[in-house]
Amino acid sequence: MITWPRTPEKGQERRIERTVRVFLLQGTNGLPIVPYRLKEKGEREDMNGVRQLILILLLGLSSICTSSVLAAEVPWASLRGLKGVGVVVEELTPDAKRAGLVEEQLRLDVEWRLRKAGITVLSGANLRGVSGAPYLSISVAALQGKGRLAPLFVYATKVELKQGAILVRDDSLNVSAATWTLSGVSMSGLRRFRQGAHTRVASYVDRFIRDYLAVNRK
Amino acid sequence: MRGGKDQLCLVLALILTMILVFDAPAFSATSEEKETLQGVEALRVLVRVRMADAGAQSLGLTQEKLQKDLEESLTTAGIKVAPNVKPYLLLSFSMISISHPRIDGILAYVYTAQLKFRQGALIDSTGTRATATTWDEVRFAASSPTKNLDSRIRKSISALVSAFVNDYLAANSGKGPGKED
Repeated sequence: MITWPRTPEKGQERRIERTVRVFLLQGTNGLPIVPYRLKEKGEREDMNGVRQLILILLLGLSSICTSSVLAAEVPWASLRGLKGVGVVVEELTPDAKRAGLVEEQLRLDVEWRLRKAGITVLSGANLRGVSGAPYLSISVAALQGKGRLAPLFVYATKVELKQGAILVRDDSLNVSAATWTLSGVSMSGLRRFRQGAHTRVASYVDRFIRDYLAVNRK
Repeated sequence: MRGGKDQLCLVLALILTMILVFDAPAFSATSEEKETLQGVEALRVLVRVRMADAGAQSLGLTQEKLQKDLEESLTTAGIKVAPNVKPYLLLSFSMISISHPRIDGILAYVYTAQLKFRQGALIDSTGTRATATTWDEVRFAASSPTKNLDSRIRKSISALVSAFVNDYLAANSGKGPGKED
């Protein structure tokens, strides 16, 4: 139940009131709404609370939007001459698993995209037999809000090409080094988290495919 | 009755003005990655700041500030920072603000800080030389607009830098520095 002010304030409060009403009508998802009273005239200091309520509604209940920030490091040259790649989905964080994200599904999605683009997917003995054993490492780390913020998820996604390499400054160190990386962080509601994470990984893998094909055209 | 209403409003206000903060390490360095810090005598420091919008820019976290923080943390820990060596530590900080056209002000900030150690490597499969990331950690967070958010973010980045410092010192304890690439 929502108690509205008896005399709505002009300007900001009125706009917030309309917005809250719109989102409550559009996407409550059957979840109970904590009773909330908009502040009356002269009580603007609580606007931060109003903003948070709206944010939760936007991302948590209505699942209307997600946002993402991205950090890219995509040197194409390191992809040249590759004969295919393996796919490894790193262990998901507990919150990601609880929200229904499954490593196997992510791996199958990525492999399907690579094959569709004509890139050989290496696995098992095939991968070990290729010099440097190049593989795409897929990582998703999610953090779910606590208590009232439980409908919110912040999650980081990373796709890296890792391959065997020897350090120039010390050739006794043979390492699996990341030579192509795309990563970002996003925020969404619970309902959109799984789909959002799959979409984010897919978009990074598509970028990898574009870069791979750009230097490995037959 | 009036007092009861006020009390209820106060409780609600307290609940609703709780600072919305998520802050956690996303991806941590593996033991194999830590080994690649062994023998590094000195490193360069690079900082990239990407503010996606004016809301994020308004916090005033500049490349210069973060670079100064990073260099100070490293030198304090005894790690040599030099401008002309090839291995480098790259801090990438990206931030976006979430707003809504109907609401004045910013609803939340989402940001990520990534610290990478990069050095020259010869790729096994092709024999080509590349600059590869051999150590990296990521932190990510979301926060509602709050006082001293810039300090909180710098503290969060500082935790990331501490992870690197600890791994560097562990990898180089009791061993002489190696040659530079």
